[in-house]
Formats: sequence, structure tokens, C-alpha cells
Amino acid sequence: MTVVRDAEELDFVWTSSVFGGFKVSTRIMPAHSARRGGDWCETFALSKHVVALSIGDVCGHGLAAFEAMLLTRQFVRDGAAWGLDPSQTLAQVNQALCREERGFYATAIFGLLDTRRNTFTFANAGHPPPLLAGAFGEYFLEFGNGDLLLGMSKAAIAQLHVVTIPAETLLVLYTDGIIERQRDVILGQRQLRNAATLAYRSSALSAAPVIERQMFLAGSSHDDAALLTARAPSPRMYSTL
Amino acid sequence: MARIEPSAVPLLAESLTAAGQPAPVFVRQLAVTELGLLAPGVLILDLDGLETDPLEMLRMLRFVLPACMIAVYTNVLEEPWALACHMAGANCLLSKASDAEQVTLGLRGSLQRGCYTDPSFTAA
Repeated sequence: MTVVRDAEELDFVWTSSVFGGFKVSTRIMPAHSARRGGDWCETFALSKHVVALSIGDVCGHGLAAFEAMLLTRQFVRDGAAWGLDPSQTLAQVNQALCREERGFYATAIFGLLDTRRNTFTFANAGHPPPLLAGAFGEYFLEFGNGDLLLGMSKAAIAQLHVVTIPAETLLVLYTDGIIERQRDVILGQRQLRNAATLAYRSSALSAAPVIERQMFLAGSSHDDAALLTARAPSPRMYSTL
Repeated sequence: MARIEPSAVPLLAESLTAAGQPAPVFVRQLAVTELGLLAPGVLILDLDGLETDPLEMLRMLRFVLPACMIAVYTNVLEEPWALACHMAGANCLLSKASDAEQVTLGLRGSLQRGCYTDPSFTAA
């Protein structure tokens, strides 16, 4: 079989980066000294109106961490494909990692972007909180005590959160390599907020590369870094979808 | 399978069957969207010499096939290529230089463990 690039496929290329009006972009930047990293981020479609956003970070570097990342990423896909909600998906991933008994821990956010309802339903297992940037300013989606990392306790279940994504708002998911580049998390969070604001205002551009350039991330990180952004459509687009 | 050389079909068919995948299907042409509708359990791709960006192709396939075991069957035995394919969504990297036994081992390993990289990529 030859996978062809026909008109139908070109339409799909467009929809893979603009899904239901949401512009989605991703960026993975390995640490400059590492050949393999433990960070991942990806998107996949679960239905006509729901796209899954998956991002995470397996602790450690090298071949073992890289393989653990591939495994963890696949556990997330499997859970989502079985129709589990994000909390159930991460609970299943957590149990699978605990069963592995290889001492791997991972942080992750898994969420479902519903492009009809303009909601993001997600669970966060010990991962840096998502950032929303929009006309109201920018804020991190933090909900009290964070949930445990994956692989630490079989009983751990990350809470399910549902947030509405206002029109034109930018949702930013990222790994700790983004905000810990200069080994100062507070500074890193401030830089990310500023970069996300710029990306929000530069609506014609893909947000992840804008944030990468604004934070001088390329080739400068001591840790792996991954970015996943989703920009909600304008109100005019909502009415036509 | 994408652009699989006809001469490789018997080897891959034998390996898929030995890895527990019944009745592999070979199709000459299929669009990504059609693949998404077919939702295969296992997909073997030959991305060598593809005119479009092969990594973007992998990302597109992963976008429509989240649960599919995607294997890349390639002549490019370079570790950075294997890593890039994995990052773009591949579960399994198979070498065209491998025999049926080795390919079976890789497919079985991917199906059981979620990922596999042929040793040729790290040895090269």
C-alpha cells in the first residue's frame, strides 16, 4: 500500500493542526546533552469533536527512561482508546507502571478537548499545572493539593477537572524543562506567562514555536522540554462550527 | 503497509502471523483518513524515500490511530532516525536487513511490551 497525499489527506493535514477550530501545536526539545529523553507530548483524535492532549515526563535520562516513556505514552493511548475518562486513564497508567516494578515514576497530564462544548476535561498526576492565557490575563490551573506522580502508589487516582476554554484563549501544557531551565521555577513560570501572553497576542502564528523562541529554549536546556498548545477559536468561528 | 516492496511481503506476512496477527492485509494505496476508518491493530510502514515529510506522516497516522501498533520498516539504520520515529509516534523500528525471525521478535516485542527498536539501529 502507498499512503498517498491526495486532496482528502491534505484536508486532514489541516485538521490535524486545526481541530474543530482549535489550533493545536506541539514542540519537543531534548536536552542538549541527551540523546534520549523522557518527555513526550502528542495529540490524537478520539471522535469527530474530541481530541486528546497527552503530555508527560518520565523521571531520568538514557535508554531505560526513554523506553519507559514509550511504554507510558502507549498506556495513555490505550486507556483513551478504551473510552476511559482522563482520571481513569491515568489511574490505569499508574497501576501499569506500579506493576512494572522497575522504579519508574512519571508526571503526566491527560485531557480531552471537546471542541463543541469548548471544554478541557483533564487529570494531572504530579505534572506542572496547565496555563491559560487570554484577554483576562494568564493563570495556572491549580486545584489545591497536586495529585501523586504515576508509579508511586497503586491506590493513587488523579482528580478529574473540567474547565471551559473561552474564545481565543490559549491553553499551554508543558514539562518542567520549560520552567526549570534556569533552575528557578518562579522565574521560569513568570517567563512562561510572558511568553504565553505574547503567543496569545500573536494569533496568526503557531503558539508553541513562539513560546520556544521567546524563552530561548532551543538548544539551551539542561533538561528535556515539551510544549503543547491549543488556541480556542474566535466567537465568530464558534457560531459557524 | 506503506510502499512495502513486493519481495518483502512474504517475510512480513510470515512474521505477522508468527507474532499472532491473523490474516494480514496488503493494499496498494490508501489515504490516511481511510486508514483511520479501518482502524488496524498493527500497521507496518516503509517511509524510505517518501516524498512527504515521513515524521509528519507518522504524526498524522498516530493522530487517527491512537491504539494501533505502528512499526517502521526501514533501511536507514541510524539511531537518530529511530529516535525521531519513536518520538513521532512509532512503537517499533524494524530493519529491512533482518530475517523473518528477527522481524517476528520485534513485532512480538512491540505487541507485548509496547515498543521495540531493532539492535541494528544502536549498533550502526
